[in-house]
Amino acid sequence: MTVRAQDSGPALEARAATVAVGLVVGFAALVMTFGALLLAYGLVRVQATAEGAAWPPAGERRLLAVAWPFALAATLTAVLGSRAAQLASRNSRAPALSAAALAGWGFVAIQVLTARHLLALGIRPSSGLAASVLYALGTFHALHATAAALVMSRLAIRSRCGEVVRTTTVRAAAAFVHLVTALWLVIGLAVFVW
Amino acid sequence: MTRRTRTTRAIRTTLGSVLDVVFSRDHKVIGKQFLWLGLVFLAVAGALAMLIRWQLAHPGVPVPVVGRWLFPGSGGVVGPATYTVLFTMHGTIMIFFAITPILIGGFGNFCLPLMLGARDMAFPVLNTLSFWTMFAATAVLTASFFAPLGPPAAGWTAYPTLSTAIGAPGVAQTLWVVAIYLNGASSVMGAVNYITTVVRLRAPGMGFMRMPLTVWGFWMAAILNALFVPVLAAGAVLLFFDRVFGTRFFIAGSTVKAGGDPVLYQHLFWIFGHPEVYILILPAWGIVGDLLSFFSRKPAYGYRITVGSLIAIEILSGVVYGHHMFTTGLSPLLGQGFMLLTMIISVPSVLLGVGWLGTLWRGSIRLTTPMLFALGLVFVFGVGGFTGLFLADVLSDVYLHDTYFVVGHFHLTMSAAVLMGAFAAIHFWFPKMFGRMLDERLGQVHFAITFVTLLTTFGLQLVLGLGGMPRRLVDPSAYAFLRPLLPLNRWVTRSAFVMGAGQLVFVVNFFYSLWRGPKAGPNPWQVGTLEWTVSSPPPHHNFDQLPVVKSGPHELGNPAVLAALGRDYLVQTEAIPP
Repeated sequence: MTVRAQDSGPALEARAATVAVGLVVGFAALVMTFGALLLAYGLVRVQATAEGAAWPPAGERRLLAVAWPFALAATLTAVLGSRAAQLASRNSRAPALSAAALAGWGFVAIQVLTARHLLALGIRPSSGLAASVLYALGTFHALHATAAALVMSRLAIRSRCGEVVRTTTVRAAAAFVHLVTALWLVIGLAVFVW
Repeated sequence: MTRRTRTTRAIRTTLGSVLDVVFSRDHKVIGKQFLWLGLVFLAVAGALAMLIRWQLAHPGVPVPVVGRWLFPGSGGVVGPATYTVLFTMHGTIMIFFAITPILIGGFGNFCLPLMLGARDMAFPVLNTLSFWTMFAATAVLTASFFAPLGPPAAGWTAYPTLSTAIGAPGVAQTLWVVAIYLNGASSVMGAVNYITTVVRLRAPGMGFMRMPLTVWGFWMAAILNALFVPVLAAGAVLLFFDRVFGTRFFIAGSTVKAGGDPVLYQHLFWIFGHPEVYILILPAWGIVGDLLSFFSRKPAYGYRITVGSLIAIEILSGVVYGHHMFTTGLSPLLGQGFMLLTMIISVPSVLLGVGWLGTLWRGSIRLTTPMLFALGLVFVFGVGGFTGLFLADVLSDVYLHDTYFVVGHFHLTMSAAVLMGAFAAIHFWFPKMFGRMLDERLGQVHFAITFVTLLTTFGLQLVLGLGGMPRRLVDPSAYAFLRPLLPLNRWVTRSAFVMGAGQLVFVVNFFYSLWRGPKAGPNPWQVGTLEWTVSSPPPHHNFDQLPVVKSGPHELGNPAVLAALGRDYLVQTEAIPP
C-alpha cells in the first residue's frame, strides 16, 4: 500500500527543517567527540610507533572485515526505511526498519564477540596502547551503535504494530545510523588500516 | 462519591500538578530551575572559597565555628589533603555547576524564546532532559563528597597523573569524571536547543541584525558549547577508561611499558578549556551590551561592530588554547604562534569595550542596579583582560605560570566579570521572571560591597602572584620567601569574607522581593525588546499572537519617537515613525 506522504503541510515542513537544524548541531557535537578521540589516538599512535611498537596489532583486522558488512547493511536498510516512510508505505517501511535494526544488533554482536576473543587471547585494556585504543574507541563507538539499533528497533516495532511513525522521526533515526556507520569507517581506516 | 475517593482524587491532582512543574517543558520554568540550582551551588562553592581563604590567612589554625564539625579528624584545621579537596571542588562547582546553570541555563532558557518572539524552545522535551541531566550530574558530584578514601582532589582541571587510578585511588575521582560527562551532555543538549531556536524560531521580521545583543551572546556561547564541550567529553571518556578499565592513554610511557602521555589530556582539556572562558563570558557580554544601551537611553554604539567582534572572538577562541601549555615543553615555534593568536584576540575585545564606552558617551545614564552591575563588569573585565596580556606572552608567562597572578587573572575574568553579568541579569529580569521588583537600595548596597571586594580580593591576588606565591599551596608560611606575603594574604582573606557576607544582602533582597516586593508592570525598565511586551511573569504560551518585528532592539532616545509617541523608546513591534 503506497499513499501520499501523510505528514506534509507547511507546519510539518517547518518542523522538519527545525529538526534538521537540530540534527546538524547534535551531529556536529558527536563528530567533535569522535574527532577528539581520534586526535588522542593519533598522538599516542605516533608516539607508540616512534618507540618501535608494531601497529596495527596482528589479527585484529578481522574485526574490520566482519563488522563492515553489518554496518553497511544497517545504513543501507535505514535508507530504504527512510524512503518508505517518506512515501508513507507501511508495507515496505516495517521490513526495512526491522532489517536496519537487525543489522545494527549484528554489528554490536560482532563487537562483543571480538572483545571476548581478544580477552580470551589475553589482550586486556591494560595490555598496552594498541589494546587501549581498541577497547576504548571500540566500546565508545559500540555504545552509539547500540543506541542506533535501539532506536531502529523501536521504530520497527511501532511500524509493525501499525502506529503512526512520523517521516521526520524515521529520517532523523536513519541519519543517526548513517553517522554511526561513517564514524566506523573513519575509526576503522585510522586504527586498523593506517 | 465517598470522602475517601475525593481525597484520593485531590492528592492525585496535586501530585500531577507538582510533577507538571517539576518535569515542565516550559522554557521559563526550566530557566528558573537552572537558576535555583546554580544559586544553591554558587553558595556551596562560595563557602568552600571561604575555607580556602581561612587556611591561607591562618595556616594551621582551626576554622572558627564550623571547623570542628567539618574536620573533626584534624581538630578543625584544614590539612593538606582537605585543602586539595577544597580547591578542586570550589573550581569544579563554580565553573560547571554554578556559573553555567545560572547564566546559560537560567537566563538563556528564560530569555531566548521571549526575546526572539517564540512560544518556546525548538525542542522542549530535550530542554527538560537537559535540566535533569544537569541535575543528575550534580547528584553524582555531591555523592563524590561522601566516597570512600575522600572526595576528588585532582584540581578542577583533573590533570593526570593526579587524576589517574594511581594518583587518585577510590571511586570519588571516577564520580567526578562521570559528573563532568553528564554536565557536558546537558550543555550540548542546551546548545542544540539554543542554536536551533535562534536559527529557526525568530519572529517574522527578526533579522539577525535586529536580535538583541543578549541573544547574540547566548547564541555564540551555544555554538562554542556544541563544538568544544565534546572535546572535554572525549578527555573524560579516556580518563574514565584509564581509571576503570586500566587503559593507558594518560599514564606516561616512561612509568609503564607501552604507556601513553599525560600531556595528551592537557591538550584535550585546554582545547575545551579556553573556549570555555568565552562560553561563560559571551552571554555576560551580550547582556551588558543591551543593558548599557537601555540605561543610557540611546542605541548601542557600533552594534554591527560589536556583533562582528563577538564572532571574531568566537572564532579566535578556538585556536589559542596553547597559551595554557607554554611550560609543558611545547615547541617554541608553536608557543610563538599561540602567543600571536592570543594577542590578536585582544583586538576584537577592545572593539567591544569601545562599543560599550561609545554607548555610554553622552547618554542619559540611569544608575539602576542592573546598570551598576553592567558598568562593574566593564571595569572588572577591563582589569582582568589587561592582566591576560602578561599570560599570553611566553616570556612573562613562564615567570607567572602557576602563581597567584594566574588565579587573580582568571578570577577577575571568569568569576568577577561573569558574576557581575549574572547579577545584572538577575536584577534586570527578576521582574519578568517573578512578577515583582527587587529592592533598588539593597541592590545598590550589594553592588557596592561586591564590586569593591571583588577588586580588592582578586587584585591583591595579582600582587601575591607577582611576589612569587604559587597557587594550590596549602601553607604559604612554610617557605621563608613567602612569609613576608602573609599580611597580604590576610587582607585578601578579610576582603573575601566581606564579599561573602555582602552576598547576604542579595539573599535577603531576593527572598524578600520574591514574596513582598512591589508588583512589576509589563515593562518596568521602559525598553523595547520583545519580552517586555508581555505581562510579568509572561503567560505559559508567551505571546497571544506571534509578534511581527519592525525595528531593532535599541531604539531609544529617538526624537521622532518621542514626538510621535510621547516616550523615548520604541518597542520592537513598532516601526520607526516617519
